[in-house]
Amino acid sequence: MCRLSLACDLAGVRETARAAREFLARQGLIEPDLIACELALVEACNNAIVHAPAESRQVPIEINLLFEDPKLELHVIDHTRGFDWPGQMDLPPLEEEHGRGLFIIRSVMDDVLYLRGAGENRLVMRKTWPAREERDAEATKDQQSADSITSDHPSESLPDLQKKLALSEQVIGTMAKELCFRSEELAAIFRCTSELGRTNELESFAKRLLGDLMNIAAADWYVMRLLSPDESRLLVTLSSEPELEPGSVVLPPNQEPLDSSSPCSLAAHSVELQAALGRKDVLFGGSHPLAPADPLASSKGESLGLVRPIVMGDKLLGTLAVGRKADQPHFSVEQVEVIRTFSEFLAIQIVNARLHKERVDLQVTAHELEIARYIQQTLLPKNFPSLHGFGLHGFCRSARQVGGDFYDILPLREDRVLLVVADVMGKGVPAALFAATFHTLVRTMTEWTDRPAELLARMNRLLFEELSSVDMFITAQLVLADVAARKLIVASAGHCPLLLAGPDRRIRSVSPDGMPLGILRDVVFAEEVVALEEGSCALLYTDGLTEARNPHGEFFGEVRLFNWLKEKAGRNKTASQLSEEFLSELKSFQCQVPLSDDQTFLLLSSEPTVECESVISAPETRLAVSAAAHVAPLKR
Amino acid sequence: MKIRHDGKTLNVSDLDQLGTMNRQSFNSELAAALPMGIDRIVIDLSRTGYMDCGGLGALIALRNCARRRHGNVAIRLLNPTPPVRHIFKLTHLDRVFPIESG
Repeated sequence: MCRLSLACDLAGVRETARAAREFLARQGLIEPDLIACELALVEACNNAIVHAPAESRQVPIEINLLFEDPKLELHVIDHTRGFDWPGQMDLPPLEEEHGRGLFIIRSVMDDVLYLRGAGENRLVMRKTWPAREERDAEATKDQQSADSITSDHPSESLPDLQKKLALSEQVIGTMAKELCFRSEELAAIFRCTSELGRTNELESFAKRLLGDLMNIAAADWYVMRLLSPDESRLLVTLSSEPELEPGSVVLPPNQEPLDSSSPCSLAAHSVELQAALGRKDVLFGGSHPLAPADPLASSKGESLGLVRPIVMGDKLLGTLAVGRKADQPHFSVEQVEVIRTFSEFLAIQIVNARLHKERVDLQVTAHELEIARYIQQTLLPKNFPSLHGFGLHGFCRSARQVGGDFYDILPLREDRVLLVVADVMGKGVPAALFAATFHTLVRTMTEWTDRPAELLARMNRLLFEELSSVDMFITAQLVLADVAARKLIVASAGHCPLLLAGPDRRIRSVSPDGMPLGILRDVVFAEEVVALEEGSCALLYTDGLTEARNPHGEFFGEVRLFNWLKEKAGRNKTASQLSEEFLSELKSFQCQVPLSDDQTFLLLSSEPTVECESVISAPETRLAVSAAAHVAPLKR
Repeated sequence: MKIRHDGKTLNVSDLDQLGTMNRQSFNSELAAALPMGIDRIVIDLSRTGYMDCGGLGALIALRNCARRRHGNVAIRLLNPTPPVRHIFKLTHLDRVFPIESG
């Protein structure tokens, strides 16, 4: 094998072609073949140089000469943008100054293959000879006549005719093979296109397609990789031999293209990575064997073939490596074409399947959120019971479509009411389901006891298994408001404190010990009893309130809450009026800043007793569809 | 290369190579030197060791140019080496540029 490098300069072509000729002469080629090869090389190099864009002129053209009697391959590798290899190659009209180069190459060489990639192209020119003895006999005959190259013998002898017959048979055989190949290819393409529209599923489609490809291209194996969702690696998605598990191929960050002058060490070891990053076909095997560190080498080291990037527009989707045993010739031009066509089909199907999945996922998510929203709405109390001398008002606003917050009011016997505020840590339907369970459990438990601490302990034991298995927990505050006895019994499971504003305007923060539900199975919850005097106001809330932010990034905070309560409580307002005022205070604080968490509160306030009017009012619930929306309150 | 005007003939000789690398200079030199009143151009290729398709194009350009200026001008190739002769035969340009030996 001989490797030559040619700078992008027409002046150097002759010299390089001469060097190549000398090498080939040493391999034993005879004069006519030497002339032919030299000519083909000259034209190929001229082409590569003439069409090289300015930015590739620093990169030399590489020429590889591979001779293995009786086969010869000349490779010319350039860095131009490449061109479309014409199907038909006729001579241009006689007065035409340009356009004979490709014709000459095709005429003097037996087989020509043009592999075009993005930024690098390889022209492969082949010559095959009959057995060596025949060649030697030819050589002696040639040396005897002066004008030996294109001698037209006027009279044809029998051996000549026999040779011509053999040649014709060979040509017919080749044409028949080609016809067969093309019709198989066409049939496969029809099968494939009819499936493309019908199914959105990738794996079975790809399996069938690639199975067909193996037959048509006479390949032995394939490995299809797809880009992982995080775009950091190429994962094997499908392979002709599922037992072999070539490792995943890691991409450099941002999929930076290879710098061809300084090969990245990762790329040097993986042809699949080269194809992916360079967005071009990469040949392997033969003169470019797989590097030992290549993921394919462990099982397919003795193979040759090519890796084709699977691309849609300029987006990389994956790679397709196709190979055959190393003792066979490289894929022919037609076979490479089929591989390319089929990889384009794959690209379409991959994108199809992805879009379909995305659409389905979106629908499922939207539906899930609808369900969860509905659940949440049903949990909230429909009206506020009236209490002697006190009024109740509650508010619950969701930051996202579904929240984990809720409040509840359970009227018990004799002017006693159980107030509940809870925050389920977590999102979506699971959080909503736990909230629903909690809601039901509280109501069930109050059949046996109305002591908040005991209620919390029981519910914790019952919910512990489920909560801990999904790593969720619930903070809650339960307050038994005994209006007749003028006291509040408070228990808390890791929740924000209860704020109680007395008639003297002093604010008391009540925070009995207790862990959130779902952390430990057996928890003892503390209970605190505080007096509920006339003229006082109690506030239960979730941390969405204190953690509300304003445009400057400041939190609303406990201090502000304290201060507001201190100022407003006990001024002869109803609970719903207070609630209204608080909400406007909160709104003006937040301005347009979207909610980051659910906001819930429950107010129990000393109210002037009104004779006839019932103090039943519909609760305000605001379930914002988008975090930034300020939805108008429901009309009473 | 040497260019010599001899009555109705223009003789070109001592052309070491004619190819893509020097076709432009070949054509411009000859275009400049093309005298009036010639009816043939004889190009001596005995010393020309290299010719490629670019060189063929140069000869065609010469022919087109000469015909535009002086009407029917014949171009003959003198003593081409076997490889050079081969490329003319391959491209059928031996019909356009008759080959002479002598």
